[in-house]
Amino acid sequence: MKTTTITVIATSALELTKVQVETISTAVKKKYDVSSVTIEKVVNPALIGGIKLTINSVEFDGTVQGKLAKIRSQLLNQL
Amino acid sequence: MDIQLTQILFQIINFSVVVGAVGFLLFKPVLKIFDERAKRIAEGEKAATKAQTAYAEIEKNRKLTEASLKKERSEIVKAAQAEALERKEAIIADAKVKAKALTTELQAQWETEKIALFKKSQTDMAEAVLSISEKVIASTLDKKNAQKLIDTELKEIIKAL
Amino acid sequence: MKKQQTPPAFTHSLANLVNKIDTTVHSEAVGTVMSFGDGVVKVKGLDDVQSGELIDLGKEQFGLALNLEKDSTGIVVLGDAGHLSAGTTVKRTGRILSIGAADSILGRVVDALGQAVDGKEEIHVDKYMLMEKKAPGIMPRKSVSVPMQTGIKAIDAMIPIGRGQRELIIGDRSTGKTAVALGTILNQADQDVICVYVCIGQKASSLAQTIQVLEDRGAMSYTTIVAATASSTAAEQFLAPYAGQSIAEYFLEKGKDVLIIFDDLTKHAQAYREISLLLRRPSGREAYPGDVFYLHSRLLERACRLNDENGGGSVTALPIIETQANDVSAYIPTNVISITDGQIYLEADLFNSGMKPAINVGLSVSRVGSAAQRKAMKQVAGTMKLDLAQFRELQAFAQFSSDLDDKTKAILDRGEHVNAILKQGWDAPLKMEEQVIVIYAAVKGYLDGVAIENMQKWESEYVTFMYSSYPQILESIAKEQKIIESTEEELQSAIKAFNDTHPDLVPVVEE
Repeated sequence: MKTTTITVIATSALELTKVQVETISTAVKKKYDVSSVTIEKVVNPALIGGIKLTINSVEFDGTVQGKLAKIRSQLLNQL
Repeated sequence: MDIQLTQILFQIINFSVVVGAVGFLLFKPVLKIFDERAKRIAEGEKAATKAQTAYAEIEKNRKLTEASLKKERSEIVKAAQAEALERKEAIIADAKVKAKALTTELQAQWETEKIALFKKSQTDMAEAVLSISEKVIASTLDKKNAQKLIDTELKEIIKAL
Repeated sequence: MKKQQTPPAFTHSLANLVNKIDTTVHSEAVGTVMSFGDGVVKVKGLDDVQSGELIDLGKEQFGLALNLEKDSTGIVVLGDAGHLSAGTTVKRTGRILSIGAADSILGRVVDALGQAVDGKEEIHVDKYMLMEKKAPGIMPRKSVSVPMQTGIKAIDAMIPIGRGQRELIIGDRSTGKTAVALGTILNQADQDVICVYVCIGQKASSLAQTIQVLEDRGAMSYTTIVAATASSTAAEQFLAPYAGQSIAEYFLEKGKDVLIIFDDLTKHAQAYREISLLLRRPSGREAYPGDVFYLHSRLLERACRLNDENGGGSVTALPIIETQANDVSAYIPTNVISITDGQIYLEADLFNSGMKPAINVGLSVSRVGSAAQRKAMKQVAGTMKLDLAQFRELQAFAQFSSDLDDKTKAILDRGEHVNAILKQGWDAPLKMEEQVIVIYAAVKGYLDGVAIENMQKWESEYVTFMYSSYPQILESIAKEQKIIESTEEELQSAIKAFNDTHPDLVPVVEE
């Protein structure tokens, strides 16, 4: 069954530009095959930089903080 | 005087007859008694000498056994001493082995501790590097670069979608 | 010189590691914490989470997804996740709960997650074993035929345990259950058996004492201890037996024989009850959840003996259950009795009257029985159970009437002596040959003249005597695994010789 709307939570360190919001919307529409996309914008300076998208409890973490955490866990695991 | 002479003669003859008879009768038994006494004395002497020789024998034997006992005793003491020496050496050897095992154990412990310390220093270094990079990025990211960063990350995310 | 070597290697490998790091963006299933209390986290989101999966709670803490509901997931925290609050994000790891095992885990003390708690270095994992695993089916199994020598005369003679069997040790508190289990571990020194001791809900001080005893006797070299003491969370206590079983299976796959002891499963059931009530699962009898039988059956079914195509190894399980007031018909004891292949029943009355080990031979049973006994032991112990049963029957009589006929007196006398020979120190296990010669002397009547108080002394001097003067008897029994005729004659003359030369123990009866 096709879901017609999908909610995307976009968390970033600073305010997103209109262009960026558009890019997200089109990409999600295409990938998830939905007719409309609602974008919730959250600004969290603690993320330092980058952007994090949460779609239906699946997260895509492209933030600096997230990347540092990944580096840290991988490094410590290998040690 | 005549009568007295015959009487004396008669007495002398009587006396000699008596002496003769008594002597003849008693001489042999008395001699026998003397002989027997002499024999008994001789036997006593023999027995005494025998006893003396026997005593000398016993003395000799006693001295011999004493000597052999002394020898045995010294041998036992020697054997005990040798055993004690052996035991001492065995104990020392055992202690040496134990000491060696202890040193190898301690060495192994030191090796593992060394590796642990090494790992810890590496971990500390890694943590330090990460917090440094966090601070550096936070301070050098200005608005323009931040927007560029968001764009790049967005592209990557869309690729991963 | 070594110091000079370390710096270059240090930075070199760190740089290498950094190069290997992958920072591309991947999708991660996440959830948001709705509520957190009493060790249970309710999480919204977390699509596609699997049952029994490890959830990353952040800050190196993990949880176990146990309740999968329509709108939320119930996660049990493994450890102390003090940093969690409402709104925190948690992530799936994709890994089903497993424990890392290696050959070096022998001699170590680990917790339910496989982390070392004895202060020594971390265990380098050789293989990750799943904690929840289906027990081997019917075809890979083989029937139990090799004995598991416990070193305790009463058990090895009348309630023999085989490798691959499950034998329950059940009794009230302070009756010597842990002592029986530890005595068995101590006896495995030369039997090529690996031991796993799972401690669930015990005092940390008791566990420390146990570890000290095992170390002093050199038993730690073939033993692993899984520790979930009383201060650990209910989730850790719940997982500890499965962790121990997984470690045992690591060695089982290599074809080894393993002995695993669960001390004790009563506390395990209580921990599971705690978790289930917090997860709001419906409760049943005695407030235990409905699947408390399955909790133990799936654990104990994994103890088995495999046939040669599957490695030929075996896992022998000795679960321990603590009863209250000798009540073996309570819920959990009846559950576990129906799962195991027999039980060793320890009674407080026997313990208090000086019979140690306090094994009630009449109520104890081993369903494998003499299939797991050496022929030598069968030869001597065959009639012992019968003698003791007759003795117990008549014992009640003896207390009432003082005027007994000679035959009854003889049975009582023999029974008393055979009973007394079963007393044993918990840390003094006997080898099979030693047990055989001692029981032979008892059942053939050579002990009838010994006073009951001198029994232990007789036994210890007798065994020493046999080792010094007639070692060939013991060697023959150990080699042939049975008493051949010539050995039997020699044994009889040896016992007579011993009795004659020890008039202080065996008083000479004036005709």
